[in-house]
Amino acid sequence: MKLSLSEWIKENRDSGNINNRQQLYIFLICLLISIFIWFLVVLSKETYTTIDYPIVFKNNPENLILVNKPDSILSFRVASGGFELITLKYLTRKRPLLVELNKLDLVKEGNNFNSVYSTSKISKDIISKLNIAQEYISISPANIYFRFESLYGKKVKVLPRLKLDFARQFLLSDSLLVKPDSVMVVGPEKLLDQIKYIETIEKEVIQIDKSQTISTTLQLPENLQNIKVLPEEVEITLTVEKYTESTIKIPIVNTAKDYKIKTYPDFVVVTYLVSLENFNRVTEEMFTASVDFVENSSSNRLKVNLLHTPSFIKITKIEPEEVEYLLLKQ
Amino acid sequence: MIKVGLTGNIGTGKSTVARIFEALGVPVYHADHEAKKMLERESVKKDLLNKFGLDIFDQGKVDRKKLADLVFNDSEKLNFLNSIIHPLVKQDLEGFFNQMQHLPYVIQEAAILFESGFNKDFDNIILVISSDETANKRVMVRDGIRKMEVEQRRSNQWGQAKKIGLADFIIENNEEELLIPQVLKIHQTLMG
Repeated sequence: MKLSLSEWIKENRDSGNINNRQQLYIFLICLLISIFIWFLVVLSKETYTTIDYPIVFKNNPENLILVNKPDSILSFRVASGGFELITLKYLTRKRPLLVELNKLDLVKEGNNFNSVYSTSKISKDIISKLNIAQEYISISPANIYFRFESLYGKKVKVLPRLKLDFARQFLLSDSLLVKPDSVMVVGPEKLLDQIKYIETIEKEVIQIDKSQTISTTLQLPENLQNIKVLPEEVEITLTVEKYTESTIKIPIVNTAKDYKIKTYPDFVVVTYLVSLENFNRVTEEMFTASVDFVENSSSNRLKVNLLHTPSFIKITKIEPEEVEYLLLKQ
Repeated sequence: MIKVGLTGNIGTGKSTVARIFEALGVPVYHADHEAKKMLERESVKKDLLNKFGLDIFDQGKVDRKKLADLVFNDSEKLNFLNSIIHPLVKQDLEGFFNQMQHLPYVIQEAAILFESGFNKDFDNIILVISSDETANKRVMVRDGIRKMEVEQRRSNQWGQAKKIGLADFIIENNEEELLIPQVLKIHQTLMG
């Protein structure tokens, strides 16, 4: 009966026979030595490998912005002995290669400023460090292409995106104050044309029970990474006051010119929120309730409108919203 | 002339219905309003002073709020007040009816028409009904009182179910049904 190698190893390892075990250990040691020798033979031969270096772009030219995505990896195809290549590929620290954009030779073509950068300028140093004859090295890409556009700027309005959750009886007493209320956006003209306003990142403020100022960052529209916003942060002030609910009974007045209208009921009850500070200021005279009469209307009820209300209250309910009516002869 | 009684429990909207009838040209005698006016009569004030003392007076006039608080919580006192006011109102109403003899019908609005036994004096009774919840809301807004006080006042009135069996016309004032068509229908019936 034939046994596979793994079965043979298992059988010898598990058997109580010392001779069998010794035979197994000798076999395994010989196997390891053979593998090691095979490895040495392979590594001593000349072979190829690729070593990648990251490229970093710095110092943008003044009033220009890079609008294309240049290659950011420089690959060296190297032919050498296996041992050397392992050292180069895995054991050598690869410092990023620096390209200073403000030192590029730019050529104006239409609205763009273009440049071709030969990678040989930055690869010399690497090649000397690699300590390999240059004829055994190829570099990719040979050139890096850059395209710049002139920078433009415009002011756009900031729109706050806040989810506000107020504690009971607290409300905003004034509109949100954004400081600054507009920001400068800088970038290529085409992209700037797409921007009408800038929103803040969405922020949730819960259980608001006092006035406060929130710092928040601005959110650029997606796919507009080449745009810069100045400043990047704004402050939003929430002016909060404690409100109380109250009701007031307001008579419905007849504002129709050609008709005398009697409504049933002849009043509405207005429910409103008012700050404690203004609570005693509210009087019936500050309100005017009226109905809209449309001639030949088939409706049996008329909608009640509040023509005048104090600016410092927030109406929450008008009861009833519609009233029955009789049209009387003048 | 047909004598029509218009009644309904507190907050059901009797006054609103009465105003619609008035807009249709029907004379309405507002018993509760007239009863309040009776409180200004010297003979009435004297009887009230003897029974309830000075507490219900303010600068020589009957303080209606204090009087209401006193009698609505005590049926004996309420009966005493009714025994003074009702005969006077009844007398005044007779005078009102006599003046309106030429009309097809007249209406008297009163909250406790059945409870006072006055219903027997009328040819037809119109009952305005609405849910207690809606009625509570109306009175709380109108009089600025709490729900408990509204319910306390209602406890001196008969339940709506009992009154429905005794009424000739029912008007539902529940803010869903239209009020005016219901009034117009009754008006046409009474006009013959």
